[in-house]
Amino acid sequence: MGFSTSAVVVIFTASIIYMASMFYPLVDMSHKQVKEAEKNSNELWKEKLNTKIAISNRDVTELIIFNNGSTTLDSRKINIIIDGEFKSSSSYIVSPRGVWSPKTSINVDIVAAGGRVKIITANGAADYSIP
Amino acid sequence: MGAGASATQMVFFIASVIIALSVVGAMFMNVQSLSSAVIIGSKTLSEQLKTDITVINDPEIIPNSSGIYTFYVKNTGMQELGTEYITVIIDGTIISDNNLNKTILEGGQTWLTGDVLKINATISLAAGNHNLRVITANGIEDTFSFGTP
Repeated sequence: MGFSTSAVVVIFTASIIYMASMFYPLVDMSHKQVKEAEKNSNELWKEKLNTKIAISNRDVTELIIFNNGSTTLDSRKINIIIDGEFKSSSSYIVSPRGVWSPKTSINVDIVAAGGRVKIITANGAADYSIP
Repeated sequence: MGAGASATQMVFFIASVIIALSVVGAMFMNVQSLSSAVIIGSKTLSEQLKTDITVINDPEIIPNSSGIYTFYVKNTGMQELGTEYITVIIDGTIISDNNLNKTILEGGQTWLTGDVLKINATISLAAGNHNLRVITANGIEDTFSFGTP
């Protein structure tokens, strides 16, 4: 009877150690994955909350857009909607292209004169201009 | 009596080992299921945390051609998305897939970060204010209010 009890205890102990050694790394990996995603999400929201653009001037087809926030943007990644229609990147000219630092402006030439213009940054911040 | 006692002990030993192995087997199956659920759950949660979409239309002017309204939805998250299971709800009514046409503008087959998805919705809308909800396959949504003339 005593030997049976010992055998059962050995089987249980070995199995629990084996299961724990299999389960723990998976839980740890999943936890790290979620933590990393939370960090990314927080960064995303921080960037969004710190992004603000303003169309400071408009002269027919030329627009000057000011980066009023504290996030560095990419002027190549803006989108433009004119009179409700999305415009492809080949239908307007952005200068300078690339890094768009806070408290600096970029020029956008929409080529053809339009009505309402909406400029959207990569993270969704936007401003409107009416002629 | 000695041989009988040994046989009894042997039977008890074998029975206890079999029962112990059965219990351990059942526990192992549960741990396996739990591990799979943890992996799938964390993957879904991390994808949701990295997903964000924004409807970028001008609310004053929604392109409309013969009852086909065009909406532009931008992937503003960090996760590439599929377009197959996008749900569009206008004024509380789900627009069926037959009445939707989805195209990624200036992009490929996958809706990558920064890409704009053009959704053409065939729907009859009365003049006035309306509400659009776009929901991704993993449940992240954006709401947009607009007016029609």
